[in-house]
Amino acid sequence: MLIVGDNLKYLIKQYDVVSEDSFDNTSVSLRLGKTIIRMEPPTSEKTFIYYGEDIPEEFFKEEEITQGGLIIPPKSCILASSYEKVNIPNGYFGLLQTKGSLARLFVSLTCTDGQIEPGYSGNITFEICNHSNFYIKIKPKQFVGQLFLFKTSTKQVELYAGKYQNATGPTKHKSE
Amino acid sequence: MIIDLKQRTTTDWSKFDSYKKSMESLIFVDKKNIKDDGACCLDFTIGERWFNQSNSQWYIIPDDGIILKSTEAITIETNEKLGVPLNVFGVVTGVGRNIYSGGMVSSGKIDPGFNGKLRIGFFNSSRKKMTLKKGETICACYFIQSETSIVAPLPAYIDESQSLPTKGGFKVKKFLLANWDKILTIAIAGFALYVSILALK
Repeated sequence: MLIVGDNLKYLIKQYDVVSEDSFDNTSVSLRLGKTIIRMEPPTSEKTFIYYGEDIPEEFFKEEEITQGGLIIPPKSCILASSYEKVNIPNGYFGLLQTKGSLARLFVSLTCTDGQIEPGYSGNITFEICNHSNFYIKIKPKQFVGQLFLFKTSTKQVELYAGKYQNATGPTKHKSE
Repeated sequence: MIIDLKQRTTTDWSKFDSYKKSMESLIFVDKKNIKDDGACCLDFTIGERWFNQSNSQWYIIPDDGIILKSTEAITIETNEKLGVPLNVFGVVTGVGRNIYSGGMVSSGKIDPGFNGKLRIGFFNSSRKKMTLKKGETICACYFIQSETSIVAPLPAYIDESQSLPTKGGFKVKKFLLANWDKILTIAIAGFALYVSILALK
């Protein structure tokens, strides 16, 4: 069941899901946070990343978004995060979607990793991909995402306590 | 889905009032009677007042209880005060303890936004008299989340029990109505006796 309207508005207030001004009738609006992580190979040679294993630190480059905005080159991807800290209460499950206007520029906010489990607390990492042939510029704190909250069938599940809990910005891949 | 009362009840009125439209709105009860963890029902006990259907008057229940004869019915107010959020609907049902004694609770519904003490219709379907005492469990309620929220709550509950009489002619009036012919005969006979005594003097 998707939570909307007053049910959502008062749920946000009751459980401090996110700041109250993020309420948007059927979802929670999320803004772009100030920090990003670019993932780039250090050389032009063919570079492998092995799934399930640590990625060398030199592949990552952390940046602060300037007032001029974040520039995402064509066919590139970055890690960013929500400006808001989000708390998903027990009994609810979050699904992140790209704002329609951004999606229409062929920019996606997630790489199909938009699920946020009950009990998660922290900033939400965005895997922003620019699928277009244009340079896309996004200003800091611009609304980029929508978080939908669904009610789960029971509250008797283990709450999220995984490796990405309590994130304060974008979180890099962590091996198992 | 029936509401999980362990997580969705409060004795704090301000919490109830603040989140009465939330998906996780809370049911207010001033005294929680939840039997065990995960229970779906709230128990309600006999309170201070009962309603005499024969004269449409409320009365205080005496400490030794109220006697309900066979096939008699009364309305009893619960001891517990209840507040129902704007998106929750309640259903009143009987309790197991009355199954073998023949006590029947009239089916009832509690509208979203209800605020006050429940008034429970109780019928003695047995052939024996029953005594109902304050504090005894009279009914149970379960609650269901509604898809709609009502716009405004129902009027607030007003406690009028302080100004009510303890005894209410429930028995006297009923006795008079049932035996008026005999009473009239006795009265005429008494009057005739009195006149006869006067005549003898």
